[in-house]
Amino acid sequence: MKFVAHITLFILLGPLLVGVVRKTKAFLSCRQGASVFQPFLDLWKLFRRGIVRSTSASWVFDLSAPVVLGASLVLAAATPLWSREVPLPMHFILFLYLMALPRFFQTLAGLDTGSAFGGLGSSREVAVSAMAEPALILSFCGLAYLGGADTVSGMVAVVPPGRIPWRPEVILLAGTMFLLLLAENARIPVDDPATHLELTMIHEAMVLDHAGVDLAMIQLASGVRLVLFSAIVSGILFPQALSLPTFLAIPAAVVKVVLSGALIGAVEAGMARMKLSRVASYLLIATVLAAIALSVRYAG
Amino acid sequence: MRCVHTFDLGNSAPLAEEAFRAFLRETSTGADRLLTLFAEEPSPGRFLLHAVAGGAAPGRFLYACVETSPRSFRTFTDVCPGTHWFEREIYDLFGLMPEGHPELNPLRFHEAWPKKFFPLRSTDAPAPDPRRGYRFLVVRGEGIHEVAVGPVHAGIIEPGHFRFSCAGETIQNLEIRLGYQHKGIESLFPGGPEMGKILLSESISGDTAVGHSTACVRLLEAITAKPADPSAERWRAVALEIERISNHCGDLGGLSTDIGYLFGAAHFGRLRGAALNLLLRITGNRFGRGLNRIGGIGPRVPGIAPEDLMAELGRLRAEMKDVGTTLLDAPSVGVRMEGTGRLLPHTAKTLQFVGLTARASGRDVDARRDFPSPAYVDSPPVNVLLDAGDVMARARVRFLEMRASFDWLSGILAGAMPPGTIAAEGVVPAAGRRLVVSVEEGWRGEIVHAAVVDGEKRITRYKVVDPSFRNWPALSFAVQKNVISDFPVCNKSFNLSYSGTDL
Repeated sequence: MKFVAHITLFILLGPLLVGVVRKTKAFLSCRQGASVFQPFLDLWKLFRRGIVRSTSASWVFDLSAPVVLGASLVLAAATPLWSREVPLPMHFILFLYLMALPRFFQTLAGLDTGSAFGGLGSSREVAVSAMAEPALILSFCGLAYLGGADTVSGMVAVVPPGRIPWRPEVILLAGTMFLLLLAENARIPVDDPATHLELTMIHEAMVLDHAGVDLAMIQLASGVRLVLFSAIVSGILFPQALSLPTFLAIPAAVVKVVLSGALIGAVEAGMARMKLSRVASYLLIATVLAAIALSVRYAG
Repeated sequence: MRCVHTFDLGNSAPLAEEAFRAFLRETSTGADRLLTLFAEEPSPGRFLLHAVAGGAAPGRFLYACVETSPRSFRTFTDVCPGTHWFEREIYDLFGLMPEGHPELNPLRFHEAWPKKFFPLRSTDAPAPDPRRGYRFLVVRGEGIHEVAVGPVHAGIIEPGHFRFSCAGETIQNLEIRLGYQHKGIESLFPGGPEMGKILLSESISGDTAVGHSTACVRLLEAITAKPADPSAERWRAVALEIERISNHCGDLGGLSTDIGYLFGAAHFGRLRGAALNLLLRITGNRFGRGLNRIGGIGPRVPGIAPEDLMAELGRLRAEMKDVGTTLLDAPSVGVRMEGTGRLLPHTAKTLQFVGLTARASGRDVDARRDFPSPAYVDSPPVNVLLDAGDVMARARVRFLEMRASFDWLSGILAGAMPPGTIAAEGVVPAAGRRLVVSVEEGWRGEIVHAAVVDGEKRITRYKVVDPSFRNWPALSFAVQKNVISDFPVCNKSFNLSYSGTDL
């Protein structure tokens, strides 16, 4: 029962978060924008559509979308969203490698159709994720050190004692995770989810050949991943919210997701996308922040 | 009039080939620049190449012509690289082979067209060799891969094919293949100089309706000897500057979209609409169609009083300045645009690029100063010249040109009629073959219309040069050694017309 509720909340919050990001961007550029519930309608539309697939695609292509969605839901089951009790407590190393699984299948699917754009997107996606990996591992190590636990749910939901509300390493780790949120979820400044230009795309180029139900599953999985990262960032900053009684904790989780959507939208509206060659420096900054957080924790 | 010139073809005998070659060499190295180069078949089987140059002094036009064999001529690209695309066009339309041309690929006609189809060559002329097929440049080497984009793009834009040869993300070579919008517009112009020709010229390139129709109407006025009065010329120039503002706004918005800078995209998109609505108030059409009539302007032009227009422009100017400053000063925008898509001044000079592309690469050409129409004679808008040649420079040129246009507009709307007078030299005497040339600075660059007129004042050959036709090769040069993900922003920084090139 709890498992179902947990996963359902993730699935419902994913499109909502995407909708909130888009609405914020529209608001900040003085436009009306579509309703925050538009992504639900888009998904509904896609789920009813047939699939057009490349004649040169193999079973890897057919398998990719279900694997992407499935792996994302397993990850969601291990992430604390409204309670520190999660249906599936998971060691953080396993968590990190399960995060790589959908990407592996998605890059293979991008290559599988043989289109130039798919290959372009896949090679970029792999480059970005390879560069993001040190920062991810370091910050998860930092969290584990900080929280004194090695499961994701255990280490996120810990309030370290201290005189000030947030210890410096907590702020540093939250900052790192936010930088990684933008990089791992194909947001500005690393990628532009709204672009129509295939040549500049990273994530979108890879999934260009997916259609219908497959595309819906991939979009749903992207939403779930975005919620997952938001939950980790807000869990680091506001662990108290995870100890609330259920009837308060669930609304609090929704509020946290909406707020992080507004923050992502504000970042996206405020700056241009980086040059592709600069992504390495961006991820290096995230790595350095995580390393500093670790050493601050070690010293203090 | 300094923007229109008539040459008496009866008096100017074709030059010897070497003299013509020297004329073209002079346009490449000297102060005058090439305006147009086109072929004509005055009688079946006899082919002439006409070249017009000028610009060293306001209103200076030079002309040369040479007779070629009905099969081929020796290429002029060795002495004047700027003739590169002109010769490909001549080959496509007339079947005259430029021998020794460095990259002789069909410009307009792809494989679906008959190989023996040369639309402007008469059937009585000796049949030329079939058109040779298109050959892409093949780049070989470790890790080189090709990316083909278009002709159908992911957006409602014009068709064109781009073939990238990349080493990883880096572009080694870009080949641009156009022609998908060929509509034979030059062959629709011959005939009497009547109103329908203005309507035709408005659809050469939809975003430059004012520029093309103004160049065309002055040419028709020179043929029919019905010059427009200074007030009409003033409104033509006003519409032309507002067309420039609207397109520059649209381009800055497009550049913002391509780098994912939402603020610029949203606001410049809105400002473009506001500028287009001003054109609507003036001419009755958002793109300025219906502005021109032979001998003046449309009966309902201007649909707005100069004072009201000034007030609207004042508001637009203030907003444009705020949004533009925010855009161009944003650090994340600077990082994307500076150093990206650099077009070297040397390349711009050698290949004789025109318009804002040239002015962002240190090449000082502006038809409003070099071939001023009556409204510009005394005070053309302030010249904007940068030399960095990158995407940022082209964005800045657009921003600064808009400012200059606003300044100029407030001057001309506040003042009385421009004192410019119509010189009689534009008027064609009744008899004999003439070549009439008309130049106007559209928002992309100089638009050149040329017409060969027979003794009965009928147009026998009409030649249009859109600035896009001159500048397309610039894109190939600018993107070399850039990463392929920067191509869209480079492309947008030129924003060239396909329709104006494919004719």
